[in-house]
Formats: sequence, structure tokens, C-alpha cells
Amino acid sequence: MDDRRTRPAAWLIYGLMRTARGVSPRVDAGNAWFTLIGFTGLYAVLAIVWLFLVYRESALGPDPANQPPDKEFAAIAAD
Amino acid sequence: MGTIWFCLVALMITVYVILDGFDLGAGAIHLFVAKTDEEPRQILASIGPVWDGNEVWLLAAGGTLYFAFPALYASGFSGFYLPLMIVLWLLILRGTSIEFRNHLHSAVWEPVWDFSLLRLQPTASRVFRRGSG
Repeated sequence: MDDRRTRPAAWLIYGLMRTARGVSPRVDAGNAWFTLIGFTGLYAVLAIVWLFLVYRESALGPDPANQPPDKEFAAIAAD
Repeated sequence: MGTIWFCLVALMITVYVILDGFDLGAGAIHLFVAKTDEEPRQILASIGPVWDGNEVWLLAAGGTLYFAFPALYASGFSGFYLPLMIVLWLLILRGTSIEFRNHLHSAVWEPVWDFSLLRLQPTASRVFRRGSG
């Protein structure tokens, strides 16, 4: 029987390291689920906050008091 | 060779503890000294330019541990899995608090980031102390 078809997750590094040898004896599946959900939730919240800030910043537009002087524009345009 | 790597890792961890101890301490001391609207901003400004540089010492120590002492790295990170993950979450929240806080003025926004920065950071230091003790 083809080993790859019957046991699709048998190798962590094909031909070198079995999945069973990569399992930590100290970290069980519940811990892994907890941190997976935790990371997903944390990054989801941060993504929403980031999108909110970017949207708000774009809606406000550039600050007219904080524009580069025309001389710099001319130098860039000349390049 | 092992002795050299051991000294390097020990140096990196020591420098991290000293430098980031300053950042974590600035977060913790906010509870007692920041009374006005201006003072949290001043405390943030005092660590603003240096805190992320200080944190790189932790990354360097972790990376050196991984390559120089893989067995220690594996047993340490497996044995302290949940505490280290919680410290990582708190460090993520610290960074985002510092970066996000001053983007917006509102009655909710700043207190939320102050909470995540300044009340949760003592927790991170406490977990660190438990781990090293």
C-alpha cells in the first residue's frame, strides 16, 4: 500500500521525521486549540482596529498645514 | 564553543531584562504617577523611541537559543507553553497600545489602550518572574 495515500500526515519532514516524533509530550491538543483561537481572535480584533484607523485617516485626507513646500515638488518633478 | 554560545545567550537575556525592564516599569509606574491627561503621553514618550529596539534582544536571545541549544529551547517552550504564549499576547498588546493610542482622541479610545498597555504589562512582568524563579 502507498504510505502517502493511507496516512497522509505521517511525515513532518518527508522521509526524515515522523509526525509522531513532532508531538510535544507537554502540550496537549486543548492548549493548541486555546492558543490557535486566541491568536485568531487577537489578530481579528487588531485587523478591525487597523482598518478602522486607515479608513478614518483616508477619509480625513492630508493635513493642509503639513504639506511639503513647492520647492520640493519642483525638485521631484525635475527628476 | 558551547561556552561561547552560553555566554552570548546569557548576555542577551541579561541585556533584555535590563532594557525591557525599563519599558515594562514605565508601564507599571503609570498607575501611580499619571494623574492628568498629559502624563500618560509623557510616559509613553519616554519609552517611545527605544522600546521596540529593546524588545529585539528577546528575539535575538530566542533565536540564539533555538540554534545553539535546541534541546533547551524545545523543552523550555513546551514546558512553559501557556505562560510564554500569554506573555507573547501581552507583548503584542503592548506594541499595538503604544502605536494606536495617540491616533484618536475620545473618551473610550485612550483609556482602552492605556488599560491594555499599563494594567496588563505588570502581568507580563509577573509571568516573567514566575518563569525565571
